[in-house]
Amino acid sequence: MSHNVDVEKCLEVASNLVSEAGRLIARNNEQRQDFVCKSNDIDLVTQTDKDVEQLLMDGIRRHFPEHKFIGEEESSGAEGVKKLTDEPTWIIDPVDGTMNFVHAFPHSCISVGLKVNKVTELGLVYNPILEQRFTARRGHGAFYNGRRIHVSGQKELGKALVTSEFGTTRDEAKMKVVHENFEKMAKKAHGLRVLGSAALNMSMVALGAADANYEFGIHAWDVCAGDLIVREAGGVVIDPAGGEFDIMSRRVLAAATPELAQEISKVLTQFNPLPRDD
Amino acid sequence: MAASKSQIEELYDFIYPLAVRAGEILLEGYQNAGKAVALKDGEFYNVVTAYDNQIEEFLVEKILARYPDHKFIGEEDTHKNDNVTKELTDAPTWIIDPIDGTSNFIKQIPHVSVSIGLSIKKQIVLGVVNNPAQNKLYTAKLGQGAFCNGKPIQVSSCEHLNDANVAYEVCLLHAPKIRNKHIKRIYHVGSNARRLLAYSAVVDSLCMVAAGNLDAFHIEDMYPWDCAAGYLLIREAGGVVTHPYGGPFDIMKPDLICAGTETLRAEIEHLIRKADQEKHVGGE
Repeated sequence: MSHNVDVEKCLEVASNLVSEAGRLIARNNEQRQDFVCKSNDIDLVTQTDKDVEQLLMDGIRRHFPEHKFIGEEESSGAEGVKKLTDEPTWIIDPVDGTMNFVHAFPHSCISVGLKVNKVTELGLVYNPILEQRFTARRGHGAFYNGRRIHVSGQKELGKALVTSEFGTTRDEAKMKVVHENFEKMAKKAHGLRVLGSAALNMSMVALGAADANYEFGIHAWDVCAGDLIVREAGGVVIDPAGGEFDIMSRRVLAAATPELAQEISKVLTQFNPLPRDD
Repeated sequence: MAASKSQIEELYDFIYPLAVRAGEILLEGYQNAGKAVALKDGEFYNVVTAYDNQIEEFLVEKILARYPDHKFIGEEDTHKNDNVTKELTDAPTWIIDPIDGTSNFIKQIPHVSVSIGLSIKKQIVLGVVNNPAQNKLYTAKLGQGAFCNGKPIQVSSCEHLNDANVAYEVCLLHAPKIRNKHIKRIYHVGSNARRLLAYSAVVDSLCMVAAGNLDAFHIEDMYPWDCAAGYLLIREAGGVVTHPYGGPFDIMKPDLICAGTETLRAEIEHLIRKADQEKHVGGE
């Protein structure tokens, strides 16, 4: 059975909740010194993550009690990551770039995506620190602070600004691949940026501020919203090896154009993070 | 004799409104850049250079009108001097970067700054940095603390690289002669840090260390105007700044490690020395 959802209503509810969550983050941010005195940074991050996710989930449940959730904190519970079904499913990262938040870091964001019948209908990425709000609905375009945005149109790697992450794993095999790719991009790309948040890295591609983004080791909640925002801005999102994007694979390559995406996929050394999200 | 406190105060009161105005000019260019979607490659540099020159000329003109004997060291200033950086003397010398983060400027990535440092008798006594895209104006006077928008800022207390957010300057990877050195260092620092970050904005990265947004930053092969103001901000915010091998920081050859704590700085120094001993990543 196909599920029908009022996506406009969902976006309105999500936008309001995300604004409220941004205010919560701002309040917690102002209290940072107190938290540092009472406990270590990790505790603060974890608590804020949970507070924001709870706020978002409780708010969504009030309006849509039958919807499902996949989220970073939810997935860290005993049940592990949930299977994606056809039911309307919210895929949430309450504070992407969590460690960054503790430091009042400019590149932290809330990422909210909605999938219905396994198709992403809605994406919202909000950075409360820099007041950057990216939104997209399938078929309706991508927007930045209310302004329609479009990818850069860049086709050549030699002229492209590429974003990625060094990753937070200590896995030596992955570190070698990450570094090898970093070195390759350093030689071939025009510029590199490491902003500290997968969702914002992708959103910068949608904005045309960056031309491509790749990463191995992300999760569905890191990229669900960013994927739709990039595509609605006219960009492409594929698997880093050049094939179709698989949101549960923990691999992503977003680019302004198909030509740029394919050029980058030929350059990258591939890595398969395990376990998959499903 | 070092600069007197009243002299520093007078020069600070003089330069502060100019730094505000310079930030307004920078913001105008930053916001306009986003509208020029069809910019050709050559035009990109023309646009940046035009604003670079406008800001530097504005500052130099105002300073010379009031202090005709003061000297300047800056990116555009050096360019006009056949790319030879002037020697730093005892004279009051303004060390200016009109736009740091030029490639961010054209892309509207909000890491762009006007940086103004003042040296008297070869000692940095004033640092003012304006990042108008983030609405942040950083200020420091020697011996009197560091501030952002008038509020005191302080470095982070992070002592272990494993817990640290560390920035690196990746634009250096474009120069073939020094690429391998930096690739090795990035590998060792990045593999051990909680998170490695890269903004292609030296000045802003230094300010973020001063404000505790970043725990550490390493850079080598950059210029005095990139580091003069940021150096003082970090010191006045309680942080440490040394040469990558631990010796004293030299503003005219501003290779540095800066960090919130000496313990963290020393750990990064250790990894840099280790990286420099290797011929390639992961081996001798």
